[in-house]
Amino acid sequence: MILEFFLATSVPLAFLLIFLEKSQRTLVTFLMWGFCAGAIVFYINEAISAGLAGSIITMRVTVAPVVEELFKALPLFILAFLGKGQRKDLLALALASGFGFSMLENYSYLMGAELSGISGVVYAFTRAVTTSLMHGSTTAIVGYGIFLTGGIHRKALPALLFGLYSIAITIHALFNLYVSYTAQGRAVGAVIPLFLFVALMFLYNFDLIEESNREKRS
Amino acid sequence: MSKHEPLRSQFLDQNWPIFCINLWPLKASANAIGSTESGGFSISVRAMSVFFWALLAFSFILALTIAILHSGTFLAWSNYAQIFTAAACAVACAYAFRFQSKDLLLLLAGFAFGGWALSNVFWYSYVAILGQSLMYPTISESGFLGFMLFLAAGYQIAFPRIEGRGFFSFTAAFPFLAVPIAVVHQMGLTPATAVTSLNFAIQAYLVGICVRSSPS
Repeated sequence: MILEFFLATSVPLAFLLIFLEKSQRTLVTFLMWGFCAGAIVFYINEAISAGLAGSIITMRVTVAPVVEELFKALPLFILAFLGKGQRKDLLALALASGFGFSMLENYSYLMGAELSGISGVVYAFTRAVTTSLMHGSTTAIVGYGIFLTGGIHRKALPALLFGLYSIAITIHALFNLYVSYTAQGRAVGAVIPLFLFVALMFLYNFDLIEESNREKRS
Repeated sequence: MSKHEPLRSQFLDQNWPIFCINLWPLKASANAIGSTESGGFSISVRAMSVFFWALLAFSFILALTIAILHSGTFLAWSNYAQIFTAAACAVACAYAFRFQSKDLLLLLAGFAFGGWALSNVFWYSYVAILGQSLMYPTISESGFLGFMLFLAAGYQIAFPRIEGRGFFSFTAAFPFLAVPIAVVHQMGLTPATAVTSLNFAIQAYLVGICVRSSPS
């Protein structure tokens, strides 16, 4: 049903793109890429999981973070290599990609959980404020890192991008480890994405405020 | 001249490439110190200096207790100290980048230290939560590899490339490639041998950059 959900959400958004302005269109495109990445990763993870003969631990804390973060951040890597990493809205675009991915993932988990009534609502809300924020924040770390280091020498770019990617997958793996395998860890796992999101929000707005003040002074 | 100028000159004028691996974080720190409006140490930089000297003293004392402490206890304390130090370095670099100097090297150093700390946190969390050893390769390897890559990126920015050193840089890097070739030949291409090969390839890359660049 993943492919059906992907089509049901992306095709209407594709029609919407026609009426949007440039920056709005870019944001929605990144959101659609998140859906696309979610669908691709779903099938890749299924194939790898079959090959690992049901090793859930390896899947959750090693394979899934590597595959998912790569596809979520792919358009960011492309923008960086094209020399367009200095966009002010890069963090927002990265968040859109991550949230789009998590929306599709939430759907697949909800379908698999087969919950009903209040338990389904609680499950969906819990995923929304923990896993979805985690997905958005880890992609946003890559996007914000590219923005901060904009103008870096092109020869240093591959090393930088891999470094940012490694931070994103480590945070993702830590989150999966805490929420999947320890009761106390679920509380820690719930706090990590919130902390990351608030920190990114603060840093993003701090930079914009400072730049706005600088422009006013000049 | 800033009172720190002799220190900067001492480190920046050295021509020994091998030591240059450690130089660019110092260069970045020196730039941050030199760029403060007061022309010298700010209170925050002083506080950071005291803090890191205290960490160094703790590490020295801990090393001396190796014969006294139980091996498990010593290992645990040294691991915690390593993670805490890396995290503290990341915070210090981020602070210095944000409020002292917009030197890109500080940002790269912060990412490197932060990635190292995260990888170690993941490693120990895995062992503590699942009660089993970490099976190589895992996510932790990415942080350790990322550390070297951030180092390489910083080195490429900090120090100019010297023309005509391409052959020497390749010669210096080549021995690092012999290990993965031997490993893959012996054990075939598996995830473990692939990550090991990548590890040595990145080390070769870092050595090559160090050799073909100058600290001055």
